[in-house]
Amino acid sequence: MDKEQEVLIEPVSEKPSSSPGENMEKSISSVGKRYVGFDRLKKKVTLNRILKTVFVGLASCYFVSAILLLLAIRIPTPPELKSPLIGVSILLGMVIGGLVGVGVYFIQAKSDMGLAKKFDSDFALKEGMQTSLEFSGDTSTMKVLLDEDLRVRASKVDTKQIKIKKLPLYIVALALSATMVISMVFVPFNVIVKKPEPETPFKLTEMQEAQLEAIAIRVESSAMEQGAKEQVASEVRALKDALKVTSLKSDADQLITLSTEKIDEITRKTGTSYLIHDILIEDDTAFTREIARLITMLDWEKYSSKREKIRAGFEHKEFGTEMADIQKINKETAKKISEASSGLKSALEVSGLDTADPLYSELSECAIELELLASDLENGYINYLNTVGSKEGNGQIIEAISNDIFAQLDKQNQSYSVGFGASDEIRKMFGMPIPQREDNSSEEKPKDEGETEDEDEDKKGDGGYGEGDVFGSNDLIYDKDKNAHIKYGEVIDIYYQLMGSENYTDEEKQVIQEYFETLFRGLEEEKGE
Amino acid sequence: MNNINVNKDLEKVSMFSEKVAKIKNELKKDVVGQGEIIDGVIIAIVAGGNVLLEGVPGVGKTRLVRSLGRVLSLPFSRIQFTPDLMPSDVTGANVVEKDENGKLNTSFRKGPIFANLVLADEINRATPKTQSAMLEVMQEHKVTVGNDVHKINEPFFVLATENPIEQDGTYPLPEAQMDRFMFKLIVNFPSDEDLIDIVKMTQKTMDETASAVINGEEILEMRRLASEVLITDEILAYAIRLVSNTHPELSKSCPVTKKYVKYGASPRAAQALVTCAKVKALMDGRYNVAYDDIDALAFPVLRHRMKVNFTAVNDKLGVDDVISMIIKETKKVR
Repeated sequence: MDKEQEVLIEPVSEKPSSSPGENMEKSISSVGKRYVGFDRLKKKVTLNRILKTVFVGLASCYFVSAILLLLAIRIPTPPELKSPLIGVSILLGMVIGGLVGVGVYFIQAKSDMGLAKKFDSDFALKEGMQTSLEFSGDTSTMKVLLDEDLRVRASKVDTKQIKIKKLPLYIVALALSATMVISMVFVPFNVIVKKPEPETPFKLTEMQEAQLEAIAIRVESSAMEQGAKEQVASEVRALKDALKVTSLKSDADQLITLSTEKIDEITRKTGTSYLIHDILIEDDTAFTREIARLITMLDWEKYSSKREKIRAGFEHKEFGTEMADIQKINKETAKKISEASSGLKSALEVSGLDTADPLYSELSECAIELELLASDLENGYINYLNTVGSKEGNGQIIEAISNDIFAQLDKQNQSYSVGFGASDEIRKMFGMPIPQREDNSSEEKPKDEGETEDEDEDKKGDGGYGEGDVFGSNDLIYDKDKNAHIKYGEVIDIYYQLMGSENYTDEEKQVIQEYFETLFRGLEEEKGE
Repeated sequence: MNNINVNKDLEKVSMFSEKVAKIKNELKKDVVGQGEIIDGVIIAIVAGGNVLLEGVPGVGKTRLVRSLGRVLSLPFSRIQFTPDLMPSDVTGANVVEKDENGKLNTSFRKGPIFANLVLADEINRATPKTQSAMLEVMQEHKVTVGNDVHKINEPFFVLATENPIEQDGTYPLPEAQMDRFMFKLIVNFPSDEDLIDIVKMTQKTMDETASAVINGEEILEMRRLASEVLITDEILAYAIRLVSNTHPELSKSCPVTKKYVKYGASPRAAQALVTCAKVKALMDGRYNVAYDDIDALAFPVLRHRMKVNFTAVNDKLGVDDVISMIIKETKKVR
């Protein structure tokens, strides 16, 4: 029996309220039917059970939440963890409260027979209800009389009097637990405060001051664009002045970072390669994006290597295999080249860039060259090998992505090298990392078997003769006199012409020899770098 | 369900209480007080059982039974048991008679047992042999004399009396015969108020004025109705558990039984409990047996069927005290 729920009602009189004979018709009509009184009382009991469940569940929820909240608030934790902990505490409290409520509901649950026994006990029905329930299907006279008697008795029961025992206790418990939760608002947070690291002092040394001044002077006397070099020199001097009055390393680092980034920004604007890169790198076409990366290569070695990778991207996997269909290979390769060309062309057209820009022009030229190549390949005017080439031999694709593009880059690199050189030197001076200038990100593409990483390859093109390092005719070497890169093939042709000419004496040939050696030594120096 | 039959049954049920009330009212004319005894006797009669009345002389045992006989309008006979009473004095015997032609014929002369209501007064004064003769009749409602079997008319009740104080010259009833009695009712000395009424009444007249209000057929009908009273399996199991708990040799019996009881009640006790509980419920105006009915009837049903041991005697506990304790123990697992 549920001891908690006390039925506060006077027991009904033991004797039936009316003799069966007076309610004969009612008695007969109740045959086989469940007496209404039971269901009415059961409904009230169920309602009370739900109410009690709510009380207990809520009180448990509030109580558990309050305890967990107190723990969350008072246990020392970093400030950023407080909100999540509080949230978890409330959530956990709700879950536990819900579970307790559900548990209470089901613990209180009684079968119909259990309820019938309870009603018999509470209303002094002398086991009448449980007897009637047990004989539910019975249609005998006694059953009829019993049900009628119960109906009369049960109808006298006012369900309002069926109350939850100790209800005030539940209300008080709920109020107390709610108060506990609310009071958590006034509990101060206990947070772990990180001790600030002691500030490292900073003092600009005389040497550093002098170095900064030297950098500014070097920039002013460089071949950098006039407006830009004035800005850069001014920025360097401003940095120097600011660092002279800075006493903390953190402040100094911040100043240096801002200053060098500004110098880099000024430097980038001296050319168009970074601007074009930022636009082309967003293009949908992979080839266009590769071109964008290509034009950030600041030296020939890297440029050449990148270009070779682009070329390799056009190689057909079936070429050279036993079942190769040459026509199909040519067609597919032509299509690929054409798509690459179209992509680059479209990207340039919509870029909004100045069409008069030399680098822009060279890139446009590249797109046109590629389109012509594609057409010729498709029509059979040229073959696959001539077009795409191989690692051993340059194809015409390499020609299309011409050295002229690099030549334009090279011109821009003159300012870049000054500006970036200045900012990198400043960074190095103060122990700060030097940023990557080139865009070395790569397209993810499936590799054929046996394909090796291009980065480890000899970046110089193959070709030519002789022992030792072999240079391709399209490789560029730096001519100090001309202050420009020139093709190796052209140089070696000139060399052989001069050396083979009968117009020069041996002494003159010796001078020529030394000159070319100087050139080749430059190559070696580049290699050594 | 046939409405006509239901209506008939409903009428009969409603008449049940009225008839019982009439019986009681008539008996009150001759018997002062003893309400519980009257209730017990009525229950036993309706249930179809025999009653053993124990009490000191003069408390109205015989008067009660005689009045009952008149109220029930049943042929009544009284047998005064004495030590020299023979079995044939009870059951009857074959006698040789001369007919009008002088021929000798044997005929069976019925004994006083051939009545519907038999008062066996001071039954414990008769010899065991005579008591055994009663045993057959009480059990089987028939008498066998020689090769002839003579049936007793229904309804048939034996209300026996025994005087507890006169132990000399008495033969305690054997257990088998005790078991034949549905109830053993203790007729106590009347209260002062009742005694005043008794004296006042008998000063006027000693005549018994109760009149017939019911007949044998009606009693049988009441018995049939009572048998239809509903009882749940749980209450039935409780009654059986109560009887089982009187047996000390059973492992499941309670500690009280093991300590104080010598031997327990027979299965007839369980039958008697349930049958009488139904009658009691109907008499109380209910249509189902309650636990209280079983508890109330446990005493008259069990007290003559079980025996307490010396430990109980030593602890000054009577059989009713032990029954009370057994009821308390059995209730715990209800």
